[in-house]
This record gives sequence, structure tokens and C-alpha cells, in this order.
Amino acid sequence: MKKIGRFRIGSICMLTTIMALPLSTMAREVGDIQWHGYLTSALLANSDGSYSGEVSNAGSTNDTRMGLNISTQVDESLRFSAQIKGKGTERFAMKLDWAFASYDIDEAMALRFGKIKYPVGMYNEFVDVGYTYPWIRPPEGFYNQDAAGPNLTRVSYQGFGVDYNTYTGDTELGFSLFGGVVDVPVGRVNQLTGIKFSVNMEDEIRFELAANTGIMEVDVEFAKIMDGERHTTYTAGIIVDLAHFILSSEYGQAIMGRKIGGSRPMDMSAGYVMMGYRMGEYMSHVTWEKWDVDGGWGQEVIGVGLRKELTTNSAFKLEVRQITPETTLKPAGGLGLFSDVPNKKDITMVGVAIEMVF
Amino acid sequence: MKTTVYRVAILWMVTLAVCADDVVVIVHPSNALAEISVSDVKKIYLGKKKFFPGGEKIIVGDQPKGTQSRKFFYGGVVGKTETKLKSYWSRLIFTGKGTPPKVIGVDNVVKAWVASQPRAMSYIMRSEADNSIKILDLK
Repeated sequence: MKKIGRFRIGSICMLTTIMALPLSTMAREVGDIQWHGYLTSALLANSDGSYSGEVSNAGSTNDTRMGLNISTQVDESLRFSAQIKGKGTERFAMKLDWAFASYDIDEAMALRFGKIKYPVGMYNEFVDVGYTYPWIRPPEGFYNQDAAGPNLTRVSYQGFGVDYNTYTGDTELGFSLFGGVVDVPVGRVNQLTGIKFSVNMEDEIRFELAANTGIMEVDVEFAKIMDGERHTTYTAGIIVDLAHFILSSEYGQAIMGRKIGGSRPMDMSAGYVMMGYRMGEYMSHVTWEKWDVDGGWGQEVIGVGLRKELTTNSAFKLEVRQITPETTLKPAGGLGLFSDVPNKKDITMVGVAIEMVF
Repeated sequence: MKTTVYRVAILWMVTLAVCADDVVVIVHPSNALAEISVSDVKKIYLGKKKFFPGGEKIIVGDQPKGTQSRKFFYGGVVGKTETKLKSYWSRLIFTGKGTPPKVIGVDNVVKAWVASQPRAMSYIMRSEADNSIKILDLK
């Protein structure tokens, strides 16, 4: 039953080919319908242990993924968009990523309803589209969506969102309110309510503050202690993207569950700072990231990377990261984002990827 | 060496500014609009402004990559390189928040399209303009 609505990689390729056949224009437009897609082809390997996404010293191509997107203007104010995606970590099972309608109430205000990408984090809404950011994997402490732990971000939610945008000079101010239910692999987050404030100075400086809260509903026995408990997150982020220099930094806190012995062991914080420099088709960058859970587990990562634009639709990435997990075991076992206990204190991970959008 | 780099950069900026003057923003002759700010043109071409002052929805037309008009328009008026533009639209497309302007064609095709669409807006080289369309003054 679970395979209904899912397709293997052969089906994905066939679907892509069928859709591409009648679309000869670069905008992929048929009337008012637009098709777009993305593809990431990645290879990651590390020096020790089994890391998130089954990365080991044998290498992993599980970060390979693709998505297809359709949007249509139903009438002057109503728009429908949907996206399906297949990921190596899910054995390329093609699933609905999001699908929602957007209604422009006026020039400044829009209402969205349906299954919507989770709007917390500067990169989260397009986190699968590697072409849009410098890394092969965005900082995992912040963007990790490990089902067993507290999370700052989620994949998507079912519900509504209201976006209000206004300008002071050329600076765009955005206010968003969203609410609904989040499906997670071991249950749901019900009564989700969130708010976001953003500032955008001509896409050169973008800043966001967000907060959201919900009540957890847990389906699995080992985590039943969290059933009915509140999960709240606070995040802040900034991106400075000038002609040559780029800086990106985010910090977030998650407060999860009840106090045990005067503290909440599942509370967590995560943050990162990335600085990069663009020279023509090349961009080099360095990133420091930290993920701490009050129960004692987490990890620190420092990484360097290089991105080269291949065309205006594609890019090549090379990355080297050093991961240092905390020595406290997670409840599910393993250190940091490793599913086991590596022999070494510092683990090196290297990766190459080709990203494209079409 | 530094001086040479600065000279080349200044020359490039001046060239773009001069070229931007050679590109004109056009609408249908029946459109009441006579002038528009560069800031509003940027917002319209980045999907942040969707309506004319009278409340009619703007139908935005674009030119394909590689044309001189597009190069001058995005370089001199919108202020984005093709790579930054692709990244910008990818962020909107793959979150369902917007899609780029429809690519209509080169100057003469765009001109004919605007002449036939009362709510259209696009851009062409000044040398291609005639009475079938209205040029908006950029302020």
C-alpha cells in the first residue's frame, strides 16, 4: 500500500522524458502552465563511521535527488503550484513534496493553503535544490530533520500561510503567519502556529526572525514520553550577498518536552557562520557549524568548499569537512549525526556534486 | 595592477549605464502610464510588483538569454547577472512563490506582442521602438 503514488528511478526518468518531449521552449511553458525541475548528483565519503545519509568510507550517492515542479495561474489572483521529489536517502521513491494554492488578496497580501514547505530557516523552503546555495549539504545541525531528535526545521506542513509584504524605499519588509499540522516520521506536530518577520534590502542583505510552536503527537512507543508535549523553536538568520563577498549565518533554539531533574534534555541549539568569496565563475567558502542538545550529544563541523558555475543552470561543488561529534551517545545510539561510534575523534568527509535547475 | 582593475571596473559600469539608456521599457499605447521608476521596474521583473497603478495585472514579457536587450536590461536596470537571476528565480520557483516572466522573443517579436496586449510590459532597444508601442520614461 505504501508504494501507491511512489515510483522507482526508472519511472522518474520516464516521467521526465515524457514531460520534456512537448516542451521545446526554454521557459517550459505550455499556455499558462510552467514546468521546472532540479537535479543534484552527489558523491560523499568519510574517513570513519557511518554518517547521516549512510555516508561511510565506502562512499555514498544517497544525496542524489531530483524534483519536478508545476505551476499554473488559475486566474488573475489564484495560482496553483506542486512539486514531487525523489531522494537517494529514500531509494528514489517519488513523493509529493508540496502542493498548495496561493491567492493574492492585493498587491501586498497573499494567502496560501494546502501542503506548504516549512518556512523556517533561510534555505529550508528550497533545501533540496542544491543549486541555490554554496554547500553540498546545508549546515546539518540547523537543517537536520532527524526524526528522533528536536528539530529547528521540518519538511512541510499542511495548513495555511498569510504573507504580507511592504516597502520602505527599496527595502522589503515581510510578515508571515502560518499554522496547521506537521507530519513527521514518528507522528505529528499539531496546532502548529508560527510567525516570521523578514527584511530584504535588494537581495544584498536579507534578515529573518521566526518563532513557532506546536503540540507533539507521537506514534511510537519508545518516544511516548513526548506525546502531548510542546515543541517550540526560535530562529534568526542573515545573508549578505554582495558582488564578490557572501556571508550567511543562522542560529536557532528548540525547546522540547518537559523538565526532567530541572532541565529539558531534548532542548537544543544550532548555528553556523559561512563566509565566501566569488571570483567570476568560482566561489570559495568556509563554514563553521555547531549543534548542541542539552542531553549532551551534538557535533561541531568546520568545512571548506569550492563552487564553479558550469553554465547559468548548473554548478560543480567540491567540499571537505571535519566533523567532531560530542562523546555522549544519543538515545538512539551513535555520536552526533553518526549512527555508530567512530573510532576517531575527528572525521573527515569529502564530497563532490553537480547541481542543475531546468 | 589595482589601478588597471579599477579602470576596467569603472569602464564596465559606465558602459552598462550608457547601454541601459539604449534599452527602453515599453507598454501598450493605450496604457495611461507615462513614466515609471527604476525601482518599480526592478520589482516588476523580480515578481515583487504585479499590478499597474490602476489595478490591472501586468503581463510581463522577457527576452531570451543572449540578446543584447536582455543583457543591457538586466545588467543596467535590474542589476542582476544571469547566474544571480537564475538563483533568485530558483528560490521562488521551487517554493511555489513565483515564476519568471514569460520569454516572448527578440526585440521585434516583443514589440509586436506589446502592441497587441493592452496590459503588457516589456523592453527593447531604443532603436527598435516606433509608434505601435509606448516608451515609459524611467525616473
